[in-house]
Amino acid sequence: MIKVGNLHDMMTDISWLDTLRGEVFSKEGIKRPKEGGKPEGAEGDKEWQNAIDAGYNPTDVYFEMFDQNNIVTSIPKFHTCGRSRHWWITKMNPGNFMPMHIDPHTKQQKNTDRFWIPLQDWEHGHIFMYENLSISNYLKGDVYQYNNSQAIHGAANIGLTARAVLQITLYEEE
Amino acid sequence: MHFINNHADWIKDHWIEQAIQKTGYRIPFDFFKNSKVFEEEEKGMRQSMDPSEIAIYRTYGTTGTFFHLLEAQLFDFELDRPPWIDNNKKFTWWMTKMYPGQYIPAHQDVIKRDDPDSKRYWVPLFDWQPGHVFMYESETFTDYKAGDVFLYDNLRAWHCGINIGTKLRLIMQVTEYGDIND
Repeated sequence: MIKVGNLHDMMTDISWLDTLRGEVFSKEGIKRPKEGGKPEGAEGDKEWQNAIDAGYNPTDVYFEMFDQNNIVTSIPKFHTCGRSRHWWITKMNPGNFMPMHIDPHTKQQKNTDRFWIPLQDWEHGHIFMYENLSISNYLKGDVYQYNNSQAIHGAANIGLTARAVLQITLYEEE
Repeated sequence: MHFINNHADWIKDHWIEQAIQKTGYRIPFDFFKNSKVFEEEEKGMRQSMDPSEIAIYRTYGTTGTFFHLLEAQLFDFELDRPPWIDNNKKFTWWMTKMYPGQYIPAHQDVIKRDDPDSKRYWVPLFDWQPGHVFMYESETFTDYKAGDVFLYDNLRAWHCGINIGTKLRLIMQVTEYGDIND
């Protein structure tokens, strides 16, 4: 996982980040995994079963998810080199987490680039694990890129404030 | 926090076996179950908690199980003296056990013993697994081996831990304090 830069250096106005964070913190998203269901495909099946076997409860709420279906704030168009863009936001209240996993959808997508953009500065207890590395001391709008979109990763909020991260994937249509 | 040495040979299989079997204190549920912790603290009947600990209970509530605390008196064995501890010092120890999904929120410890030379050691009892997280200030410790001994550089450092993996996480904590003759 490498830091590419900060949105502040890439666009003139990043006030939409604050608007987006405000919107995410002011309402509830899709409660996962309770309301999300099992990920699609054989890889999703495998991830799901591994989590259940380890003791995770698929009817609990581990985090909340937002995307174009429940966000009204406009996300600016980034240069995508002709590829399709898929974005979503994860919100974690204190005590929420996402077990370590490999994203099934990035296995199905071709020529994928995956970005991780926090909507707030880092705080104690806000955890993102990428393989055996963690990211901390980041600032709002920092842009991190996965070296490998198939890397195992997970996240947690064991701090005292909510945590929100924008995730963007660029990929080639089949 | 920094690595001191590996003392895997010191760890006994039956310590691990008992730790796996025993429930210990479900924190914070058992801590609050039979006592009015906040009232007792206000009346000076118990040592003050750190503000970070109070904030955790206010935010997370007190009826869940974040993790399992296994204190020395719970076990049927006497721990062999940790070989890295100063022979002139006393020590105390406990274990924290986390099943997948369990955690200790970010906090600062209260320095309970009035000893400016006290030292705190963090000793994993299993090799590191993906999803086993220990964060000390802004640093995360991974790729460790069972029996690795780490020393806290600052007893008041912010730290936290969580298990978002698929295997049990078991850590021993050892505090060295006071003169053995006191």
